[in-house]
Amino acid sequence: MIRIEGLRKVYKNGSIEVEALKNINVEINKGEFVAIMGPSGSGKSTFMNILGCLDRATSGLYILDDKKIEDLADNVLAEVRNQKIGFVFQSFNLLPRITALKNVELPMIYAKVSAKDRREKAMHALERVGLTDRVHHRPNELSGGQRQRVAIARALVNNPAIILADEPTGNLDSKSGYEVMEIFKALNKEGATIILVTHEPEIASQTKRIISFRDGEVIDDRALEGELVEYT
Amino acid sequence: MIAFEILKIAIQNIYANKMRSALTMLGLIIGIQAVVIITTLGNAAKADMTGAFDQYGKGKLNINLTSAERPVVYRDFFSDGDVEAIEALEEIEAASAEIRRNVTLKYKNKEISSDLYGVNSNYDQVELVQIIKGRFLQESDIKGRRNVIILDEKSAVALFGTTEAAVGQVITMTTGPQTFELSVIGIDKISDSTLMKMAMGEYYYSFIPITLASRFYYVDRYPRMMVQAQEFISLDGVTEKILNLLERRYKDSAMYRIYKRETEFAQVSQGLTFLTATISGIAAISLLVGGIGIMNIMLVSVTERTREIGIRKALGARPSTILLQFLIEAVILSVLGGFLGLSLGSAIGYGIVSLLKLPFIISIGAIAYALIFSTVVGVVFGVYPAKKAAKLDPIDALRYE
Repeated sequence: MIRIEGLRKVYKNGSIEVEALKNINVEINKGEFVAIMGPSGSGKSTFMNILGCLDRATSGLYILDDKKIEDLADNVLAEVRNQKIGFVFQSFNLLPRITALKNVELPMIYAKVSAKDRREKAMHALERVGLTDRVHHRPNELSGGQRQRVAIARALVNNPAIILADEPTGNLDSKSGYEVMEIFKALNKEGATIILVTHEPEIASQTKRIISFRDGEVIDDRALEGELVEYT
Repeated sequence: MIAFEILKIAIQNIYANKMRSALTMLGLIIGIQAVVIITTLGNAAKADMTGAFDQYGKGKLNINLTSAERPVVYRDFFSDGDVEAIEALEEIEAASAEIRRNVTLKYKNKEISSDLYGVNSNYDQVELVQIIKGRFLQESDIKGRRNVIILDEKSAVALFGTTEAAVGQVITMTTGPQTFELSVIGIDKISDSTLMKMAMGEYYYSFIPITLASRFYYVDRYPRMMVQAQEFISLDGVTEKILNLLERRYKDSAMYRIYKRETEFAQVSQGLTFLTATISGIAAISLLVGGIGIMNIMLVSVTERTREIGIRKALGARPSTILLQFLIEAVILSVLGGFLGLSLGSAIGYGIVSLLKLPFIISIGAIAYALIFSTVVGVVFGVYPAKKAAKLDPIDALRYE
């Protein structure tokens, strides 16, 4: 599903070049539940942005669902984000002025889904995250956990190939964080591919595979079999 | 369909910032309003003029003497025979000469200065004469050289207080050292045209039999002749015929200048159009200011909504979709402003026009101009902010606080 070979990302800051990612080689298959770990500045966010087609690699290969991403024009890239990727952010990133339901409908507007289908699918997605009773509330009328669940519903509503979650529990209390992780686990069990960026070991440990970054390189990539692994 | 969704989003955004949207539109509202008021007034003035022309301008010619080649001498003036000969032309319905002098008219202790016209009884065929009291000159007044006078409405009011009181009264006319007594037989209505009334101001005029005027001033030739040609006939041909006729009557045709009322009206009308256009153009500058206001607010809006733009982009909005969203928002603001300006301008224009008793004309051209122009303003000044929004890097935009 995802194949990354020799991926590099270089930022130019005036005359100084910063290599954020050096020769990354990763393969992620359909149905995996992966945590990407690493301290800040390790390149995990850059990696995440490239995975999410929000940013382009300087060089290297990125194949998502048989598509070579670097070849695609901006408009096609927007379509890829819309169809193949569902984002969940640390700060939820819901539009504040519209209801939960409308927020979930948003990606489908850009996918040109009819209003009736949009509503139906959005309701279904909200049902999957257990929020059927709050669909007509605006984000500021919802708790943090509820907001993140709306965001998850929004991420999965277009049936994306991967769900990318960037510190999804970072702004949540532990109970809400737990609930959110339970949703991710359930979605993964239903077959969704989930990639989660976190620096919390207890969150990472709930996934099935941890890829660790440091200084722009993958320093560890291991599968988990249920046991808790201490992050070093 | 996506366009419809974008439109909905744009309207929601405008509605969410009601106060700001209203203030943004204000510049455009005022600008369009000013242009609409000016064009409404211009059109009204023109229609008023055209109305006046239709009433007494069609097919009318003035034959004047000109000293372009040599000084005018008395024998160049029109004799009764000349007038009759011209009237006999088949294209001519009526020809009438006039003598004009400025005189003082007096009734009891009231006194006005009036332009006295010595005219024939067919004068009402070559000029607009609307008798509202009494009667106009008749053949017998001319032949009998009767001491009668017709006053205009305003003179009557100035001398007698009312038009009713004037008819039948005797007034004193003083011209040079001479004084005559004349009885008032009729009152002429002054023009219906508001502009004409304004232009006439304190102007008073009166008519007496041309034969009487000839006697007063010891003349039997007249410096000016008015002609009514048959309507729908080419006035150029008539002009030529008249000049040929004068030539045949041993006159020097180079001494005459024939003016068509049409041409004079066309010139005034043209001047009015030019004036309206110029003032409108100046008012249109405020549209520019309105446009800049829209651009300013759209730029603020893009900055404020950076994060929203990032979210939309992450969720799959194309740059072109974002561009369209902001562009549509700017265009809605400007078109709505244009529409409100048009409505307000028309209402105010209507108010002024009815106050001046001028005709109110809704011009499709002005409506189209206002709406098209405001759309153009929206597009022109909306493109830059919209492009800025479309170009935002989604990662930076998502991080924006």
